[in-house]
Amino acid sequence: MNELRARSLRVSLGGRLVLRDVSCTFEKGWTAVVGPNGAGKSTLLRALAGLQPLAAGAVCLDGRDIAAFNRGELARRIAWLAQQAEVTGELTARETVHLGRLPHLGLFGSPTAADETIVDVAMDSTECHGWQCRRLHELSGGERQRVMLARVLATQAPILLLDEPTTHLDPPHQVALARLFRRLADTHTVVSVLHDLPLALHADRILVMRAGAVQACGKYDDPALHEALVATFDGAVRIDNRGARPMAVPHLED
Amino acid sequence: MSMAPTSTQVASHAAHDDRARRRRLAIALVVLAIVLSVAGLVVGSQGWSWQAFVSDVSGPQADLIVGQIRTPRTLGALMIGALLGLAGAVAQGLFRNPLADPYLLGSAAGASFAVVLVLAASTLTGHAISLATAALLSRIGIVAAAFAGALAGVLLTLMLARGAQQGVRLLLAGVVVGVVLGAAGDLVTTISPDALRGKQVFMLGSTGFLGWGSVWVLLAGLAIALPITCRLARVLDALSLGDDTAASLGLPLPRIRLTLVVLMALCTGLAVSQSGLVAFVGLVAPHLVRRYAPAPQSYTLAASAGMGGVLLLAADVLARGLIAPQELPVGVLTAVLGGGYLLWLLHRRRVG
Amino acid sequence: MNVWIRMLWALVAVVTAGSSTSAIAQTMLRDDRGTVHRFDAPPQRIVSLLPSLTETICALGACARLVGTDRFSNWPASVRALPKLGGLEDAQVERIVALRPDVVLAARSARVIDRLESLGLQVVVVESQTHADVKRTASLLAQLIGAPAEAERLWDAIERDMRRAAARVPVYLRGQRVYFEVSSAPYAAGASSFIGETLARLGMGNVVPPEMGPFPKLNPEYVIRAQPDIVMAPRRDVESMAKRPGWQTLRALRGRSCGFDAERYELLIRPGPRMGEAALAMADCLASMEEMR
Repeated sequence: MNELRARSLRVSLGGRLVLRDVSCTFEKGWTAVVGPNGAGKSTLLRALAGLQPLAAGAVCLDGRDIAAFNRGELARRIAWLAQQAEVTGELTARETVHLGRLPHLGLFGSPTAADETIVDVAMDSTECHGWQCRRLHELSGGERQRVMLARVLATQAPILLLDEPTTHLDPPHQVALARLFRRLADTHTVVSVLHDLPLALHADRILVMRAGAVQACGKYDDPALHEALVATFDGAVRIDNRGARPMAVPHLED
Repeated sequence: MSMAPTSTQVASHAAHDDRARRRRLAIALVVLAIVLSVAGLVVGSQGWSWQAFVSDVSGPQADLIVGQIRTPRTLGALMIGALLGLAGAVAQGLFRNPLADPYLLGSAAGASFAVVLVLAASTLTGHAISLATAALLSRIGIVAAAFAGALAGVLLTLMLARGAQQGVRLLLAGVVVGVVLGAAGDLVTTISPDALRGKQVFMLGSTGFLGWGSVWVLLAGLAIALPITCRLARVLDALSLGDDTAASLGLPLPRIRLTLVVLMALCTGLAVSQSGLVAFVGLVAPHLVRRYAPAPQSYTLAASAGMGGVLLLAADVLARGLIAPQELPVGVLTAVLGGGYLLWLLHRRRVG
Repeated sequence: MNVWIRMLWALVAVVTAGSSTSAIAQTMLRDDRGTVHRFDAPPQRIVSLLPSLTETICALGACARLVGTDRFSNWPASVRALPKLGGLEDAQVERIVALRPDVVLAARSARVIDRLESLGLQVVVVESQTHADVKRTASLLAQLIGAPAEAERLWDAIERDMRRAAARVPVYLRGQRVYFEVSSAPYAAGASSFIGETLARLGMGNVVPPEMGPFPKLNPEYVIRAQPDIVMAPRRDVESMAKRPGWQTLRALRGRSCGFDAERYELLIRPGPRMGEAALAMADCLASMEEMR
């Protein structure tokens, strides 16, 4: 149920091979995708969302190739959050979150009270009710990010693909979001690209990427994964296993 | 859940303010449309004189002057402006560019090229085209030629961009088509100075000869285009978040973009075939709406149509009235009115 | 002493003869900008950047001296073979200079004048908007080419044609008001334009009074109200005039309209040496109109 599987994905952008034979499975729970810049993490997420033309390989949802899915149905099953909000137009925060209902309403459906409630709940989850009537372009980066996240939640899709959802957020809100992902992980498949390694290690599973290939994919407490992490980041980080949960710590001393 | 009470109050205040502005704008547009329509019936070749109007209406030529000339001209200007305002709003939403206007995708270039061809048909015989083709071209009126040319220009752009998949490619193709057809038109006018004169008239735009026939055609076009476009408003809203986000929401982007491009072409082709290339209305009407009452596209599209209609009608009435019985070119007045009002709004916003 | 007086007279004769030859040799002109031009000899290589000036040069018999014209000059036929140097806005400076003209003739509104003058060429600027302008232009250009008598000859020919044309206009049409449409915006030729002057010479009236300027852009209503007796316009426009809203009421469109084909129309709107021919063309059209009983 709600299993997203990537099979030997190959993506080439501008002559450069960005994804090389990437294969992995995403199931219920929270998976963090980490890796250095240019590793292909965003491209992987786009491919999983069906937004990236593939040179080879396929993405399968519950065994079926996503290319075979009806676009609307796919949108109801998979929600995707862009890395940067390229925003134009005059939409308010609330109207933006409302767009998350598009996969269900289609072009011509009229929103009902139930839709309004869903929008309210979504905005509460990311705590952006306070500026619901302000225009998107008037908000700060962090405020906007929370609105966009609420939009993704409003789609009520069981699979959430989030590209760097915490980049602009301050620590309290990063933590709040991490708690949200933990809660969602019980019922949803959450895949998030994260730059923040300590935060990423709070996920259930971690996918480590480098130069377009998967270096490791495993549970958060898998020692092999820890080794791969340290190696991928060239020793800039070390894993501290002393506490209840492994922690990623920046490695400054030599 | 932490929510300061004051921020909720601020939020609901802002929402209320937004709604109030939209209401005010809608009412203002309706009132202006009515007032200007009345003005359009009163102002004629004798200027603003009320006595002249009264004597016109009670005189033997009432049906001719007011009924057959001023009324369709007024209604026509209103509807042409509405079509251009609508097309401009769609263009700006589709390409997410505030400088977009309805003439972007080769419609203006196609229309003027077709007009030039028709005008030069008799001269071109012996140069490039056969007698039969020349005779056919001479029979086609300017109106039909401009409409067909506008649609053909957009079709050319679509073919060059290989469909409506990417906004940027479409824009570039539109620029190329515009330049190429413009050059081709210039070539034809060097052979036929007769066509050059006609082309200059066409490029300036004129509402002078709008009759009831034009009004029915324009009304039909508006009646078809406005509801369909407003239905697709949600798409333009989604597009404002980015192409990929819109696609991830389940929207069949290429098909919808194509539909919107076709709608734009129809609106622009209709407008241009009746009045020539009136400048600035399509560009500035959506801006005026957004400056005063920012709103989602379902409102902005309809309001842009209204604003465009009011703008062109005001320009037409002034064009007739300022130096009666002479007329100013209507394109000059749309630029002055639209641009001037926009400047004032910008100034006010900075001050306030 | 007789010898000295004779020698003095001889000296005076030589001096005056010399100065009169130099007076003939050095032409001095003031063009329409007020600029004074001096030519040591009548120019042999002439570039003309305005069709009416081309036509005037040829009508004065100096057609052979033209080495280049603008792209719209097309009369007489021999001119069509000359190098075409662009239009009003886009004259090709390089080509003009390459032709090594002794003088360039241009209209006041040509953008290229400053450029050409800075390159050392003499540019004579001539305005040609009214009948008086045409006469003045003819005499100026005749002086330029060193044949001042030609101007009078030309003007006499034009006057003769005008009188003949006026005579050809049927009596029952004299004084009737003409609406001359120049382009379909509609722009009309008013009484103060050169076309209006020609119509006046033919004994016709004009629906556009002189105070509205030479080529006003009219409100179509004005034309309908004015109910012109006769309509003159390019043929294509005349044919589509009845379709304009309200214009079907123009009585003139039923048998009292002149639709000129492209060539003839060009003749009519050029204020130049063929003005007489233009008047004859108008008169011919009027003569073909039947008397309405």
